[in-house]
Amino acid sequence: MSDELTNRIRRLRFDAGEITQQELANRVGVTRQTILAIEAGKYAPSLTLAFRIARFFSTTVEDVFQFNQEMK
Amino acid sequence: MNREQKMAWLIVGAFALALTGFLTLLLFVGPKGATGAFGLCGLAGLGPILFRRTSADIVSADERDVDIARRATVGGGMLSYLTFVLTSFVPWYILYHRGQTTVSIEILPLITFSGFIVLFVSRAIILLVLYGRGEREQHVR
Repeated sequence: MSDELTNRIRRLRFDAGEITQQELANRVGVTRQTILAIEAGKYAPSLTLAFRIARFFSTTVEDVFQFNQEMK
Repeated sequence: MNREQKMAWLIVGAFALALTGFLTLLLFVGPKGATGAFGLCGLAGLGPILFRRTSADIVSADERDVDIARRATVGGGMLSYLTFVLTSFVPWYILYHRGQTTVSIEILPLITFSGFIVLFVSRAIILLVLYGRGEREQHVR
């Protein structure tokens, strides 16, 4: 069984007027490196941060993050 | 590079300097005197002075930094414990089989020191590796 957490942050940033990772980071209270790591799928954010990101884009957590579970 | 990374580089740098000093002095004054070079590791203590915290309105550390620091500390702690156990038992085992049942008092501070130095240096290296992994694919936007 392998879990994969994907996200649409890059797309949402583009749709929100091409805001930079730094701007998003400042607005949700993290460093740019963290936004970078989340976008690249290298870091799974906490539930609180996930909600903060979703709220920033005025959408739901499910719209930002997708959980793909594969049963082997 | 954030504050934690700068502190980690300082620890690694101070240790490298101390090791170089030890190896250099080893040629001239022998192992006992050369051990004094490890005092240079104390330079790492300047970290909080050299790298002060940035102002409160700038995010300098977040949950990912805390997670990386925690993982590095756990890794460093494990290696330190392993070093402590090995440096405690290996000399005793060797000496016991040579018929020597006492250990020189000089060995005790070295065991403690090696445990601490492994903790700090390995924690710093693990921290830099974990940050390095995330930054390899760094790109703006």
